[in-house]
Amino acid sequence: MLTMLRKELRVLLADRGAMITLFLSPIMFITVMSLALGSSFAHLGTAGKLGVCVVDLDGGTAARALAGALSGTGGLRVDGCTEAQSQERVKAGTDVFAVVIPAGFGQRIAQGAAPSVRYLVDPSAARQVVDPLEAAVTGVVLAVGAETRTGAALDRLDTVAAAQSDPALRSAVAAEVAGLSRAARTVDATTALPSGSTAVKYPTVYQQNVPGYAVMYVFFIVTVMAASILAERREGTFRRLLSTPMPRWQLLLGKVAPYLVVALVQVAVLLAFGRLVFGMALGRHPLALLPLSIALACCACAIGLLLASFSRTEAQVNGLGTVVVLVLAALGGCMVPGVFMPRFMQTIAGYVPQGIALNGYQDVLVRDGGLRAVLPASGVLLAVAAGLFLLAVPRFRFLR
Amino acid sequence: MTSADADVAAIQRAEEAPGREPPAPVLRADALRKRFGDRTVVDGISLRVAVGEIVGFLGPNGAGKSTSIAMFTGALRPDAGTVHVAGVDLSAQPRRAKGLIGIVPQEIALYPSLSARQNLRFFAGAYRLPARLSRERIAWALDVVDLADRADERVSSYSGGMQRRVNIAAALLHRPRLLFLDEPTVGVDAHSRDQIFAAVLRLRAELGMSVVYTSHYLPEVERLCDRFVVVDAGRVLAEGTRSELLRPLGEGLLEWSPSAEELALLPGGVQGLAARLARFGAVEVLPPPAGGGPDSLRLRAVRMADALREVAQIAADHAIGLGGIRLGRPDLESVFLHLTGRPAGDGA
Repeated sequence: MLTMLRKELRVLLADRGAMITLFLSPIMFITVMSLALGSSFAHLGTAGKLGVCVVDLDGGTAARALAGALSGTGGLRVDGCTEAQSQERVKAGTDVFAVVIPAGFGQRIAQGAAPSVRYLVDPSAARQVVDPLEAAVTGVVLAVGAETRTGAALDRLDTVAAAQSDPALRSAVAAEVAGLSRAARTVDATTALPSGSTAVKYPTVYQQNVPGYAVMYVFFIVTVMAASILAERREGTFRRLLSTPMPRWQLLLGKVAPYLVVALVQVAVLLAFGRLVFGMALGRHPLALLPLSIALACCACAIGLLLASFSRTEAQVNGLGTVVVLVLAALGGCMVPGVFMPRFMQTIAGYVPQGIALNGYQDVLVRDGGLRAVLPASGVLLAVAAGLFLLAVPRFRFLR
Repeated sequence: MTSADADVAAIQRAEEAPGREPPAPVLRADALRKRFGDRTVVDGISLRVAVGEIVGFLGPNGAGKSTSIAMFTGALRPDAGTVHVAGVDLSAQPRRAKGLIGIVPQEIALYPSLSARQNLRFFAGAYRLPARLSRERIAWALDVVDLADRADERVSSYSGGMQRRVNIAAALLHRPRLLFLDEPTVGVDAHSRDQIFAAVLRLRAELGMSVVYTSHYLPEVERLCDRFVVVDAGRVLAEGTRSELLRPLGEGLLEWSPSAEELALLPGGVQGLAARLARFGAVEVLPPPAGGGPDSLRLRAVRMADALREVAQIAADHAIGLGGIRLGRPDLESVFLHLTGRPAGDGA
């Protein structure tokens, strides 16, 4: 076994093409895609708050109250700007959204009419981001409008009460007005998660791309491993080894185990790269990454063995392998985060090994999950690996 | 000493003991059969190889030769039949039996990105040689194939002949009693071929190693082997020494292709000639060549001198020339052609 392991690692290290595919290529992808997609991930509110600019063309008390209320809304970075600036900022993607408060905003409210505002929206922003944002801003506008009107009504009531000669009546009305005024401004609400759920957080661009491309490129071991098995068949080294005292099971295990090691090294290198170069957070329980990575490596090697069992030529290996790697990576959300995908694609991602693994990594990296959090994903990946091994081994041929 | 060495030593002691039986064959394969789907590839092949014997195992492409070798060496399990290596049952004690076998596959079964030494170290590990013995054996094997000075270069940088020699060295590390050489000289120059022959003869002389040798190039097989086995369609067609195989072909070969004008002068034409020459050996009437022309005649003569006298008499009697006559001596190529109907160049 050790003999096979040493030989296989030597052969792999001497194969520059494989080294580039397994290590250099994902590092390049992580770097380039993180730089390219950094601003898109800012929209997820993780690399900073969502940018909203407010154009106040009214300048009255109600308009200032609206701007203030928006600034006080969690998750928003609110800047005041001119109408021309708002066009530029939304077009450039600096802000997702602009709220234009037209002249006469306060007057309309005072007259009892519905408050009127205009929104300017970044056309490239995801609907999943814009729609809730628009609803939230509209809610704030409604609240400010209602508060302004209620405040004015209470002021009038206060004046009427002050004019009363009965001190008891005056005092009772003042207490009701104060209570109503407080009630209009506050909501007694608490936030909770379903039992067993961890806090929902969105990944940073690095917490998406580093594990995403690590998972995607671990599966490139599928083609490297299957091609290596076919080369052993073609070049007669298996034939030679079958004639040595080495048992077949040892030969097979000796062919698979080195790729398990390589896949684990690959994940370690890429996570270390993310941590050291981009300062990516590894969560509070980084050791939980180990069982998940072992399960992921087993799954990739099982697919590699299956591919080698069913392929006769290297062209088949490359064709099928590329489909497995790229299509499943895309379905699993390794290239595009699940939050940007439609609902049915998100559902599919939950059934694809790459998606299961990526979610497991993000449980640890983003949501601070520990061993318990990754057990389900690791278990599923190991079960898939076991199933594929059972399918591959009876079909495996050492000879052409 | 490895378990393989211990086996070899035990067998050698048994062979050298006074009053011993004749040495058991180092390979005894009996009635091997193998089917792939509906196709029977090997259909009852048996083979014996004596200690120190070099056997040519010949057959055209698809004859079942490679499948047989895979079964002799334990790379493939037969559907029926048994293989014993130096008395050890290959199916019952595969690890022990395989320790007595070396195989040089037709392919360059090496890792091209590794050096010759790294390759040999790996295969020594596969035979479970301890580190120190492994170093000694690698040095010895490199010396046998005359590559000690280039051992640390990548195999991919070697010439075809050098790669073939490392391919052989990898099969020698555990000093097998029986070595299978499958087309070991394909694509090599004359110098490398001579070096490979020298290595094989040295192994027999120094270690008493037995060899099963296949090759397309029959002159080299004739030069090297003591005995030959010709297989086709999964069966043994003939086996024996060179002279045993040549005997049915007679002392010589006479082919006579008279012109149409000459045939017109001969009573009975080609059939008449065949009848007059039949008492000197086996006569065949051959159909006209593809370009057209009359039939011709081939005689495998048992009494060549008498046959030639008869031919001269016929020519004189009917005033025809001897220009259409070709004479030849039978060789292994003739045997191969006679048995399989195909020249060895099509894939021996």
